[in-house]
Amino acid sequence: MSREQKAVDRARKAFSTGRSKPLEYRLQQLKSLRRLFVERQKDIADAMMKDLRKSEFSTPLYETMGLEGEIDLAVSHLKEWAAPRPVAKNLMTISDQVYVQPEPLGVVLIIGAWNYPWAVTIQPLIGAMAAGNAAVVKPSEVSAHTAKVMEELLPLYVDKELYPVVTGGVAETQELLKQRFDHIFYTGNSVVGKVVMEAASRHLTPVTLELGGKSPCYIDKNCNISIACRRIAWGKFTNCGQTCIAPDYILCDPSIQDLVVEEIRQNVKEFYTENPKTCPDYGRIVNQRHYRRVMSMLDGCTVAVGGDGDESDCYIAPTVLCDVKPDAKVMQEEIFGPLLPILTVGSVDKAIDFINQREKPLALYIYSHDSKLIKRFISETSSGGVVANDCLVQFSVSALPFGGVGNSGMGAYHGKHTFDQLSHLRGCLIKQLKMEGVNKLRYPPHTAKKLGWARFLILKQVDLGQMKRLAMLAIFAVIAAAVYQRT
Amino acid sequence: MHHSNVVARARKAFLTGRSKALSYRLSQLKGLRRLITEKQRDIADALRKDLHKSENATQLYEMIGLEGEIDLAVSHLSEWAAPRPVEQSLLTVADEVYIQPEPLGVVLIIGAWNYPWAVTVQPLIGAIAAGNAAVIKPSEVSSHTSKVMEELLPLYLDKELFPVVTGGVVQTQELLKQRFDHIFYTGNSTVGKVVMEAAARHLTPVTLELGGKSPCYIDKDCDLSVACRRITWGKYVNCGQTCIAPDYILCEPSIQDKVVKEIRKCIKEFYTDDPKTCPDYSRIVSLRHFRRIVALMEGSSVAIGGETDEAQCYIAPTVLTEVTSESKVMQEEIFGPLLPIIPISGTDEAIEFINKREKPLALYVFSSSDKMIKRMIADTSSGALLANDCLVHYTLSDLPFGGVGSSGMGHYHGRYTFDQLSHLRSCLIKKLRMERVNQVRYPPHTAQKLRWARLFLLKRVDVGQWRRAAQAVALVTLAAYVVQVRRPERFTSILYCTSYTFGFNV
Repeated sequence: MSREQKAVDRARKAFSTGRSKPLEYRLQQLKSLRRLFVERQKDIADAMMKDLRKSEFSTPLYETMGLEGEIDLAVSHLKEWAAPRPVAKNLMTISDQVYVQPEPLGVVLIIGAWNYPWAVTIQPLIGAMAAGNAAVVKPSEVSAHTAKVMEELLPLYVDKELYPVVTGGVAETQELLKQRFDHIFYTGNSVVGKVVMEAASRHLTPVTLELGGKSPCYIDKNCNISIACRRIAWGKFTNCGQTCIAPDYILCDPSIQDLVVEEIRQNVKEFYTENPKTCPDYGRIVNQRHYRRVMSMLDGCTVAVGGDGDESDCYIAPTVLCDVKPDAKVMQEEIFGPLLPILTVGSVDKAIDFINQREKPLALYIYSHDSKLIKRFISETSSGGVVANDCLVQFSVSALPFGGVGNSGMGAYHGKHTFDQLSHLRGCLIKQLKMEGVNKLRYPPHTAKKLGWARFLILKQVDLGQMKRLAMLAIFAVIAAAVYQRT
Repeated sequence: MHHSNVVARARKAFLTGRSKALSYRLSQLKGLRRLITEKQRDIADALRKDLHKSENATQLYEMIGLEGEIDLAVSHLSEWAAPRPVEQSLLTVADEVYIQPEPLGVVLIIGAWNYPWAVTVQPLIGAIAAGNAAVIKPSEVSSHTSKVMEELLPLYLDKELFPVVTGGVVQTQELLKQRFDHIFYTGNSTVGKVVMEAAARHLTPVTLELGGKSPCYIDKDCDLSVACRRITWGKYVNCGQTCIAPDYILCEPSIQDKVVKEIRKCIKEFYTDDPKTCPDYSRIVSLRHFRRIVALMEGSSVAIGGETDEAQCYIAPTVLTEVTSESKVMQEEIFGPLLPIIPISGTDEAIEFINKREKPLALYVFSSSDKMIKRMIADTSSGALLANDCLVHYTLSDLPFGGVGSSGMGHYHGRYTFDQLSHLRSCLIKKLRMERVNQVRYPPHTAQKLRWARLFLLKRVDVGQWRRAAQAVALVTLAAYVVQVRRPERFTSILYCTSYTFGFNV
């Protein structure tokens, strides 16, 4: 039996004991996980510095604080999320118990990514735990130091049989994908996404695929370009552009291109000093392979800001490209790096067309004061999510489902959505062995008369909730009238 | 027309945007409803040829449900399609935050043959309601119905947006090579895997409504007469060819004889002494399935029925005893009128038996003990659980209908179909103001900025609850003032009433 098989087997056995089901156990595991982030900040930050040159403050700001928040949310709402969810009753079910019962699925496989390794690997784990599952955690080998830290630390804080960490590369992942899981949660690119889904199909395992794409960023020429560019510069160059929801490229009117370039240049200077290479807050490309991939995209483009790189350091300066053409190399794949191309478009129509000709992105950004324009973009395009007048922040709104559509993914998570995604929502109808008379209508012999009655009962979906509200209102009116009459 | 052309045409029609307007969706849904009311005859005739269904059975088990679903969609469409506000937090208190349901694009619906209208058109209702285009591939096994669908749907619906593609395995495989935005498949697990694999090539999400062996546990201390009546009905409807039919019974040996007796009584009552001549008793859909089911009887004892007639694809309502987990009839979903009874020593053994097997689409429990029922729910898993009846959870539009594990993924019915075939897009509309607040997130990152960010991100203030509390206080104060001026002694009673209404326990 391979190492991967053993880990999955053990997780399944542990799940079958039933110990991950009681709410107290789930809460205890979640609280323990939270302690990991409070107590091990240093180990986590050190590894992130080695993997991605993330500064001491970047790590909590962009990764672990969000996780603490998600754990707190899960802990405070677990009882509510896991409780039976009542369902509207109708005339037929008036004396029955009807509800949806959330249940664990079993053993979940979580395949993490390297860009925000803690965030995208642990956030699904939080939901998996909250939902009562076991979970095999496979961190990305590309962020090697972090993978090692996860492998060492997780077993010290959470149940090592229920939540084993399996490290490794492509071969180990393929071995894992041969096993049977009850759900696979993958964060990464579309190419591997297809491989994951295909492997999942062999066992009829449902999947959540958090993929990527080229997230467009439209800037209306009549908006406050200064603030817009500040937010865009921050969204783009955080983590050196290695963010699944980074604004990939800008679309704007030619008349504002120069201003946009200037504003971004200024903000880059403000955020990362004159020499970003020496700035502790500016990251690095994760490895040489990606460095070369990103640098090659400069081919054929006009560099307006930055453009310099240093392969030995995997350093690429915050770069803006202007007058970029749709067939440029930089427009053929998700950049996932600190190159910000600007493509000029003459009208909103052309911008919308441009977006629609391409695969549905994970995020769409629109900068405008004009609410009508924003609504127009929303209704005429599609994307995982939309943010107007800012970047990235949708990630921290737990109430919003975070996920893609089309090539950018399937399924969604964050907050309660993770819990629901990794649960089975089981329909429950509890009737009584009484009132058998009513059922005569459905038993053979089927007659036209019986059919008439059945039609009446099934089609008259009497909204009981509404009746209840009307009744309460009537009572109120009567009380009010009585009180008034006495005075 | 070649399949790639049909799909291309549907996509082109979708891109014109015409399926998006609510008025258009409503007109299509109403067109579909008219089809059902006006063409009852054609529909019933085809089903009689395909499955020996009586006209009333067709109505009862297929068409009324569809009419109900269309009516539900029509009356609720504007609510379902509207932006869904999301609870606000301190971070987003000045923003518009909501989820916008959107069409996915072109949906492929692959139907099944057992309730061809129900399982093919119900997903279509949701697809239309959600603003999609849909390619409909009815099952070729129910060939007369498939033909009727091919003829009638274009008369009532937009034939470019909602084309019907008929054919068998080869045609289905051709379709599966095309790119869709969602594939909705009803059928068995083997083909389910093929569908999901094909979908993976285009990263197309899927809904798979599959099957399995739905266990039916009868507690010895319940009203066996009523229980067996409901089970008999659930089993032999459509000759057992129902994805949520009770596949097999688990009960203690002490009640087995009574169970057999009761079922025998009910069969006679429903289908007369000679079910073969009864218009309400159906047939097996094809020779292939007939032979498959007959072979399943091997090795078990026939307690009731057992008669067959290959020429008519007739199998009598049958009950089998002396069945073990190794028996042939326990190796696959029966999907026919054979009802095996397996003896178990009690609830523990029943639960163990169920859990050793794949998660079924439905789990039935017959018991007067609520505690026992709750235990079954807690210790097993299944698509759905129904206590003290069979099949009827299907008719509740507010319950999600779908499987788990081998019995499927995704779910539908009512609003769930709409949501399943929509993209629920997160929308966050901020303003280009209050830029000072954002200072905490911009580099250079400092310990102090981090502390402020921590405060913003981690302090979960439930804005909604504060607002409601403030409203309640305002109302109570107003009421108190009004009453106190007029009648001080009424003050207390008003306070109680108002507080109780707003859910505070005073």
